[in-house]
Amino acid sequence: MVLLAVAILLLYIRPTIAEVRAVQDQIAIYENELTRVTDVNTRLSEHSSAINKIPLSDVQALERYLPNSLDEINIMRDLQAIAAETGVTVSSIDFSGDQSVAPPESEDSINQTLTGVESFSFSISGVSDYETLKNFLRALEVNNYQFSVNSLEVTPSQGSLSFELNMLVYVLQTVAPTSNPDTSTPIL
Amino acid sequence: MPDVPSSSSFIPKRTQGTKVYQKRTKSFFLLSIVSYACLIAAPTASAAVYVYQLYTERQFDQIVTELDEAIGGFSEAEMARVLEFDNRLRQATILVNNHVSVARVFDILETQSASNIGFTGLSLKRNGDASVAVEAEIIAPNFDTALFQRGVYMREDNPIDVASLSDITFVPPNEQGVGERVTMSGSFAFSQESIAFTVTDTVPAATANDLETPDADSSDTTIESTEASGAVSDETL
Repeated sequence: MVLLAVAILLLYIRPTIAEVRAVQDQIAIYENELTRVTDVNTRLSEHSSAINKIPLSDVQALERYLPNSLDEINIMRDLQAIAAETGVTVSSIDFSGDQSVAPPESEDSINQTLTGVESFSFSISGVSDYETLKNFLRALEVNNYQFSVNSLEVTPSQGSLSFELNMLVYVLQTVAPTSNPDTSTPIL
Repeated sequence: MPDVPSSSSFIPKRTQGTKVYQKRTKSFFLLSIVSYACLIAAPTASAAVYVYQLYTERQFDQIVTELDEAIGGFSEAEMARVLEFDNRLRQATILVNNHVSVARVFDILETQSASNIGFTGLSLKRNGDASVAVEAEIIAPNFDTALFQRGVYMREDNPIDVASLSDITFVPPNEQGVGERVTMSGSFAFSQESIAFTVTDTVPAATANDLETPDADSSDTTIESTEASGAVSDETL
């Protein structure tokens, strides 16, 4: 009977306990993953609710300020409209294309922080007087989307000022979502 | 005292055979107890292990189900929407924080220039580090004005971060005694902080009907008017 007991111990009880410990290790891993997935779902829900609480007008204003795509014709039309309203006589409006460049080496460069946008260059040349030019520049500053002045050349011309203004317009680069979300990286 | 014979003692004597018999009985009794204990403990332990194994497997199945439900509750579309909004907001914040007012550059040049100083040309360029560099052709009526203007540009409380004058040329008056002037090239640098765009009156460009209609001054060949408000005056003249 002692031998039988020893045989039961060696052949059944010890292997079974080893299996149970392996399953318990698996349970611990799964519990850890469950906690992380639950945390991700909770935070995603919180962020989604926060976005839903933002007024639609503000969301639309943000999308206008930094759109997903460039509409160069509408932008040039806006430039013409702003020039007309401020009294600038337009000589030409040009679209130069994608001006996105690699970030320069300086640490405080704006381009180093703008990793998710593309910039497109527009030029406008015209004639006006000094106050009209300032009003035109002020009108560009408060536009629904940003006109970032890149360069400005002003020269006197026949009693007025002729200018050539080069500006950048920014467009958001969209990021495609991954199929398997990595729960190890923090969400937002 | 004389020896008492053993046959007269009423106390029975132990024999050798009785002691051995009792030792064997005791060992066999202990062995039996151990055997029965093992016989009872082994199945009991087996049953307990079996039940615990069932419990553990059920626990594992439950946690797997919960994890599957949690993963199923994750919405990729919602994640993409939140990420896109966050990215757009972050990039827009950077753009807004680095937005500068070129009109402010002109305002600063106006306030820091003497009333009889003029600009005959101006070139403005935005640097990669969000600062603005200005190259200007400046004209002064005489050396005193040029010296005074240089002193203004060199003041520590000047909102212009860097100001320097170079290529100074003196043009003497003509035979009629007019036309005396001093021309020079000015190099100015404005930091992003000094010309940062600030919201004061967010009038959309489409409804800017209240903007002043400028009066064309055909006689003014310089950029800045000679009587700009807030201009520094040369008290020595």
